[in-house]
Amino acid sequence: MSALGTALRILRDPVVRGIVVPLAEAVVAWVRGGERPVWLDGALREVPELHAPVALAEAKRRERG
Amino acid sequence: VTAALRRFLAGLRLRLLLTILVVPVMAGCARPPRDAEDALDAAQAVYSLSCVALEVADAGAVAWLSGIEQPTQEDIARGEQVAGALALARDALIRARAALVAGRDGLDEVRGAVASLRIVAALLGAQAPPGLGTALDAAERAIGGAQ
Repeated sequence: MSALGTALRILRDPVVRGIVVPLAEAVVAWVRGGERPVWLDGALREVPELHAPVALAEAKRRERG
Repeated sequence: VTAALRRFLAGLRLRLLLTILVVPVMAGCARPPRDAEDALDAAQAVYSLSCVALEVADAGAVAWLSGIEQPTQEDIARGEQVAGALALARDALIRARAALVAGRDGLDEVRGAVASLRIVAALLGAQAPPGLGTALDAAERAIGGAQ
């Protein structure tokens, strides 16, 4: 399946639509001069943990054989 | 392994899709701020976008490193550079978050994180996830608009 096909399939998924569509509508309304979405005032998300160091350690182990 | 790979790709595609959805909104928001509160709002938005870019870049690095069956010393050296730049970006985002929580905009820190992620994208080259460059472009435009 092409990337576009996958994107369309994800967009058609009812769970994804139920989450993404209201968020997108609220942000678009805000940009057009409406009210700022309440959830934007929530706590800042945490900085994500990195997984690359673990993958690098495994690659080093394979390199040593 | 195939199922895990499919789950990983689906998650990566979803994140990229969300990034693509966010980018036009960010571009629309990249206007000169009217006051300090606007600057803080813009910095929070760029911080969130940079966190997504960090996740995507990290996922790309993991996919590249995990995909090398017999790594060479050059691969390991490049992997160490990628991991180092990712760690620099993460440290900068941690400082940016602390600044935002304290009510400061933290734009200098976010700018540093984006610069480090540019290095990661360059090191990954063709292995860089599609959309990463677009997200970094949008972040830089938004930082420019928030100054």
